Amino acid sequence: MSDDILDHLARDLKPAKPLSVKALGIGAAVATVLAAVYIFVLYGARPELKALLGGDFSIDPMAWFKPLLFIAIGAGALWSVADLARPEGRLRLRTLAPLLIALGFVLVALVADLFARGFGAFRNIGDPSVLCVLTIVCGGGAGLILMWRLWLRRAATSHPGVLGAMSGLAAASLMAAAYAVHCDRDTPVYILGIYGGGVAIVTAVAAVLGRRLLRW
Amino acid sequence: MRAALGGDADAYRALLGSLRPWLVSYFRRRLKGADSEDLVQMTLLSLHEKRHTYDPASPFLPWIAAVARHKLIDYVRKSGKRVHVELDDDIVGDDSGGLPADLARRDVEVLLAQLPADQARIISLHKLQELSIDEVSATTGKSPSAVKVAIHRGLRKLQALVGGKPAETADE
Repeated sequence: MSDDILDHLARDLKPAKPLSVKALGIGAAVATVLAAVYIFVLYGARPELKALLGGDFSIDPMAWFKPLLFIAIGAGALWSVADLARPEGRLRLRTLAPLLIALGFVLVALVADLFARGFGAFRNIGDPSVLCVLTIVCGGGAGLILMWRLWLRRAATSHPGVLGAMSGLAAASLMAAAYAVHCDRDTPVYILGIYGGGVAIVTAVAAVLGRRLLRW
Repeated sequence: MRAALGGDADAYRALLGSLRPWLVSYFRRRLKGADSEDLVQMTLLSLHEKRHTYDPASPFLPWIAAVARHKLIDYVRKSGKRVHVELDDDIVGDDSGGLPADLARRDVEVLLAQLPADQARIISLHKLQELSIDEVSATTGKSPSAVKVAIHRGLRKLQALVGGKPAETADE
């Protein structure tokens, strides 16, 4: 092999901006706040949060716990994305910990609810569930497209499918956190089935897309 | 590589030149065929296109080893050949013969900087300047057993930083 390719690459060299984890984090935080404002303005806040704005702090803990739960999952997934985006990166248990802990919480709550109310825990899922899934899927999808355009397509991962899945999980979880500003359905079945369903759809689609688009 | 990210073409040319023999030996060892030259070229092209994914605060060799490994796996998938690919790539193992010494030295500095200053100094004295445990103990004013513990823990931490499995270090 001649030195031509080395000379050619060196001649072609332009300053390259390193892939910035900080930019990913700031972008995700801004997008989540914008999504929450969108939900607040168009859908309206859940009554407890309205009361909170009115100075009533004696609110149902789920009003803040639910968004926090999804922010934790989203942040963990985003951390995985930052790791996996480099060739030497891999999926590590500590970045999945928020997801596993959150799943554990919801499952324990589900079992407790089943013991307390029997199959009543599955009733009264109600109308807004379609809206919930649609919002998480569409908002998460929009977030994913934004992440792809601004950050993800510069990645060089050794695990395209996993990076895709983690990106989808991050985008959809943060959208779910924003949607939780509006939604006052807090039963474990609802969180696992409806929120979880929406997040799972985006994660699965992103994993499939990742395997194709994140190759290099 | 840091200079290359900033656009220093001479430093970049020197880096590519010093990497090539290592890449040639990396692929030859695994492919035992003529395609290794193509893979070296493909890896250098990938290095060029994806150079922004190198984190300037991290060691460089695990990054380029991962790029080479990715290209190798990609090639094997497409060609259907069987080759030997480590699940956990050990870049300082049998490939060390062709490792560019200046790159390795710089990586050691980056990694040592991530340890507490005391620990980094002890490891540097014992492993790089090759002082004995007693000499390190005399230089630093710490007891020989404290020096041994610092080296043992420091090396484990360094292994964790480069993604290796913490192994027993035999020479303490």
